[in-house]
Amino acid sequence: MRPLAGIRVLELGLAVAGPLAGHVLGDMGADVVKVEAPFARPKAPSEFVHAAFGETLEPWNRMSKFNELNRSKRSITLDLSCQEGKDVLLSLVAVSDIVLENYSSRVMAQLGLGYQVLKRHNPGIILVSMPGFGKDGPYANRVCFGPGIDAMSGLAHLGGYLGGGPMKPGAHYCDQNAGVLAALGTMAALRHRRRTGEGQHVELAMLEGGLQSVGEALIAASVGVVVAGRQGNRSDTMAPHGVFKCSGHDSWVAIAVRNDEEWQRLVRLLERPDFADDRSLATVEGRLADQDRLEAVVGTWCAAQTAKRVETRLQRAGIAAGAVLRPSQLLTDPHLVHRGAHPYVEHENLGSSPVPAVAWHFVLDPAPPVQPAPRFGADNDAVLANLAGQSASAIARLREARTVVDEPHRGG
Amino acid sequence: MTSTVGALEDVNVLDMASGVGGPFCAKLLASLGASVIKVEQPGVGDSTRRSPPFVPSDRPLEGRALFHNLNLGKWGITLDVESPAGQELFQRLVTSWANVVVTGEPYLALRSRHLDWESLLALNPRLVVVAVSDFGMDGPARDYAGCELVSLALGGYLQLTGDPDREPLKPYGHQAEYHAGLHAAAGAVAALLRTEITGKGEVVDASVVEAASFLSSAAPGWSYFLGEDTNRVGNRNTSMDPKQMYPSTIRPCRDGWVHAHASREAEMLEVLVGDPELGRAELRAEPKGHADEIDAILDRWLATRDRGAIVEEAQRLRLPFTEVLTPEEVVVDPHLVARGALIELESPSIGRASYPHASIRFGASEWITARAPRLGEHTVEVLGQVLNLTTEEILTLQRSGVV
Repeated sequence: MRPLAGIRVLELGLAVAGPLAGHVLGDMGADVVKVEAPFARPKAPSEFVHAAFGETLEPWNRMSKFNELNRSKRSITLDLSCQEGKDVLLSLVAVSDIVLENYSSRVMAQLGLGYQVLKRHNPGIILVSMPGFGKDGPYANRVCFGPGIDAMSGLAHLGGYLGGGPMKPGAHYCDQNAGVLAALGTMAALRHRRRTGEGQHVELAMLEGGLQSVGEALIAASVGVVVAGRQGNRSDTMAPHGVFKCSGHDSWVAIAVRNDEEWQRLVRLLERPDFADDRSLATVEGRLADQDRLEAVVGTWCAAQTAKRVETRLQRAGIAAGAVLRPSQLLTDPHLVHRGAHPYVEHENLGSSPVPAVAWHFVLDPAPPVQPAPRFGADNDAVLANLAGQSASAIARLREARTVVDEPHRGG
Repeated sequence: MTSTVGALEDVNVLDMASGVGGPFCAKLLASLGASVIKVEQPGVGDSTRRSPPFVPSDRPLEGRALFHNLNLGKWGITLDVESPAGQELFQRLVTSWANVVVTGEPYLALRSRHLDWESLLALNPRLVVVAVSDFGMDGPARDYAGCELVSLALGGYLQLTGDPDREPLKPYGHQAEYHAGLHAAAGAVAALLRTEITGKGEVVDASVVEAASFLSSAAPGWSYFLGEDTNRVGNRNTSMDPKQMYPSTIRPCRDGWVHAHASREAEMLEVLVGDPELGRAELRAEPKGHADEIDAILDRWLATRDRGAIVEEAQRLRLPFTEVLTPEEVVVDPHLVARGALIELESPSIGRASYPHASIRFGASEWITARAPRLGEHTVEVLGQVLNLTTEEILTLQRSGVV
């Protein structure tokens, strides 16, 4: 049985965090209907619209990041700025369990689609809102994207090279964090409704989601302890602990000596009996004090080997080490392939393409296979007729008024 | 009508994990209202009781901010599950009390302590077992030695962080491990929703390396279609197309750092900075391709201004600029204070401190934040009230070091 069998989600998600929350629910087997504005996808080819399939053919269906974030969903188009569009949405609300949106905080109310309105059409509805800063407070009306939130949570300040400036993590962190957190909150609200019959408005401010994983620094700061950030790849409790250059272009290996026993094993691999006999290096305190020298030695040892060779040799000795994988290597790494970290979906316009799976698996009753992202408006007819109860002539009128479209357009 | 309890109020969770991922998963379940008993090894405790940052405390094992953040709202007991008496008590908790068991060790270590999912489900077939580990419960790297840094490397997120001409850089703290804990909690609630209908237990197998690979998000897909890898780009946006928007970066100003961003609002950036250089045709046509020049123009303007004024002025023009805040600034930030995003709690271990509070705000149920337990704080209570042991039986267990 699908974990979210029988659950219907209307997703009004934009950019990363909202769509990501939607696909997590879709991956768990919910029927997620993505409601897209007539102009939601770019009509013209833009970056990452892949030329491999022809420059001009439906570029709006060939955006790889969009397709990753919107897999396991259906798609309809609806112009929510006009009354006819709102009416269709509200008739869908009546037959859905969840409405998920990540507009900035005022938009749903401005559209006349606030929680109280939705509730009148479906008393048990769960509205999940994901504004960047929340619906109230001094910054409620600020605009922002993911990296701006990582800057405000303290995460960017704390990351960085020794002696350098702040550094954001990856492309962003808080987007994925908020997306999965919103999916968690949605499922918790579903359970609450199952027990009590109550729906509710769930609010997830991306910034507040981002505070969890820097919580230790915030707790420390609140009692006047300054947290040592920007340590490069060093650790306060392990040494050596770093990333070392290997043979080959931009090829690196991460090594962490977690305890004194692992240090002795590393010393044997390095063929440095003088280190083995050096009592000052036998404890982590001693190694932390001598990190510059130890890193230079380990660095020299790594430089002539491939990252995978270093990883294998150290792991055979029970030392934590891993090649720093490039994006393409994530698709071929035997462990990640075995774990199904990037299942391939068959997309009508992109062909076979990999999408990043959630980081958990059900061992006994696996979740259904990940489904490809829907083409723009692919489910207009099915959803409008079967869920919104629209007649064929009503659907034709919606199309005529461009309330529902089958290709993106600007304005109208 | 509105409840004052969490959505998981009637769920009982045994947290057998140590470290970050498993305990964070159990902490999220506690925040959603579950009753969580954290089980620690007598005299030793969770590994995060020894991790930085250290905050002043009355006892050495009680003053770690990381432990406090990860174990909010749990009951704390000690129990040596490797002793026969301890194993028997643990099994009674699994059989008669728990709906969910969270573990945090690699598979082989779990098996040697009878904490593997096969043993747990044999005791209670309706159980949801949540196993959080670095590499997961199968696959060629299952038995690898791991840690945050290595998971970030093998999950690809390390390659995407840092400057292009320097070594890949580890993000602060335990981001991949936290993220795995979040995924595990989502998996746990999904499994509970199903188990409560089918009556059949489930095993949620979550790994830190996959959480890191999930964080790498679109990069593998781009490499697949473009035939080349995107790389780390410092604080800039990842786009390799010179026509793409810019800035999206972090730059210094007079009194700190700002995140500077302009996508469709290029004209507004000119209005903000007031430098005609920004309007040059080449910069307009290919902003990302002229990132260095745009940085230089921005830096000249930022250098004479303060962070607060910059962000305020930019936001007035609907430019998504934000401050780069320090942890000290986050805990007193006026917006977060007004929202009650952090909560002050009194703890016997570290006194009054602020903690991240409701990351999810529920209209009809609660997000609960209560302080973390001292090592073994609730042992007597749990053994007495949950397992109905007599005072004498508890004393015997204490004397023999089982609890």
